[in-house]
Amino acid sequence: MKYFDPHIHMLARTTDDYENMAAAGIVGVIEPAFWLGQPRTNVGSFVDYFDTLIGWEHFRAAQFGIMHFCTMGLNPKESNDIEMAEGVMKILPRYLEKDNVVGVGEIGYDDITPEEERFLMEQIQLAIEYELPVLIHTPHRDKITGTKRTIDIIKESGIDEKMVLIDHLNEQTLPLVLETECWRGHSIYPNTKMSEPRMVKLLQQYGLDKMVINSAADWGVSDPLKVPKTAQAMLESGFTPAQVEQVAFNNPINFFAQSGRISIDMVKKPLIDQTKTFNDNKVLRGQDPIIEDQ
Amino acid sequence: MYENSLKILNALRTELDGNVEHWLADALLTLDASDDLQNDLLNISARARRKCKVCDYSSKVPGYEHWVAEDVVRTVFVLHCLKSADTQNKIKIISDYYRYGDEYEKATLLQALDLLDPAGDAVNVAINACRANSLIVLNAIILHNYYPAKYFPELNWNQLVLKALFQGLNIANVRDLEKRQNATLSRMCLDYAKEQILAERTPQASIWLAIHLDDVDDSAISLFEQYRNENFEHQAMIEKSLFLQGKRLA
Repeated sequence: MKYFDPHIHMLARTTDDYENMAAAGIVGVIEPAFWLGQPRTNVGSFVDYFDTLIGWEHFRAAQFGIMHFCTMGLNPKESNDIEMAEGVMKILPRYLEKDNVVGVGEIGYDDITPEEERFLMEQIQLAIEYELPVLIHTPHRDKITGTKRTIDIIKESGIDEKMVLIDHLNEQTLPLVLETECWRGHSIYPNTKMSEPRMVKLLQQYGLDKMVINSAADWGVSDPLKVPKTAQAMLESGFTPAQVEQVAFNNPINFFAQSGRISIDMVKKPLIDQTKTFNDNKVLRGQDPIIEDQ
Repeated sequence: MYENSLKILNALRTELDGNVEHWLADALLTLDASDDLQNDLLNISARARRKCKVCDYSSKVPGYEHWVAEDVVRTVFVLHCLKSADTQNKIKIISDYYRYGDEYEKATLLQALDLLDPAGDAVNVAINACRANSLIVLNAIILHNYYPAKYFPELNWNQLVLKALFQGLNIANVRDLEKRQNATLSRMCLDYAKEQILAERTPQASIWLAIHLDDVDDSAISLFEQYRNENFEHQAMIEKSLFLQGKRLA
């Protein structure tokens, strides 16, 4: 069975993770632009980061047999530095034009401030202009309020709700999103937030329509294999392979396919050729390169 | 404006080692003669840790028992630069020191803000600091610090308390928590407690201090009753919370 993880911060992960993910059946990922763990202090940091997402990280993933796409955006935490945020908004449009950029995100609220709201709305408007889907992060604190405000902003913006995926949902917030046409994202973590058994219960209770799962793995304690692990939990609880494929492969790709830059037919395991380099950089450190034939 | 701050800092300075005080006095002269205050302040501040290593410091000034020697000297340096600055420049000095300082310098600045910014003009620096995930920084702004309670707008105050809980900090050490309690905060904390329970985790014991029963629905009473039997820590916090609210459980 093949899987797709539509929300994972691979920049923070090692090549071991890529190898394990590929072995587990993950053939494609989407890496949303986010913050670095401490505040950036100038727009140049964003430029370098965005370039890495479409450059080196895209290359690095392919070197282990995984297709890498990304979304671009100004994250909610750094929206509160207005001068820098305005600078990022000026450079964002050109990154939204890149082939591997399949959406705007991850954007949303963090502390739920007026500044965060301003840049959330501006980026939704950019998404409308560029006809791209939007990945929205619901806040880790005051989640219910953040989700409600997110839905209000979506309605106010005029964007087609089907172009929006609201992520990091749980038992308290999913029912709110189910009242809209937005897609429903769930991040499966070890020990916190959502777990495999809880996710299975939600799928059993609410069905599979527009339901998306991801690992949201990043630099913190997280597990890049949570999509295949959740898929396994679904099978063990009685879901069919076709149903598992719907949630763990078709749904996430179909959501981002609204960008016109990704499709189910397109997402296949790339052939590995570790003799290749990116700007003279390679992933190997003396190992024998893997080269796969057609 | 700084009379009270200077009084406290002078009391803290008297507890410094003689060598450190001597170095500090020299450094202040360097700052007086500076034509590049931003860089000179940061360069001198960067030396503080090494200079104070020899100093076995332990403050007896009430409210400052947790300060170390470099906290005192760095605060003296920053205050020295602020004394003759106008409001705009004061904010710039504080912002720049926060932006370019290392984690420990940021922490020193934040815990000293009540002394350095008695008018609350640089409150946005503190609000921004609450977005950090560094426990060194968060401890400094959130715990044992009167500045947020004095100057944070309600939205940011509530986020500070929630962030503290999120990071596992004991909000019994948030100064003036009871004074700034509000209905939104009660609701946010109750929601967070329920979210933790859904994730099969035990809410942090001090969370009950920020939930006022009159602000929320009866589900809070059930949780108070349930967690009062959880362990001694929860029991103590719940009883303290009820006492402060003037309430008792059935």
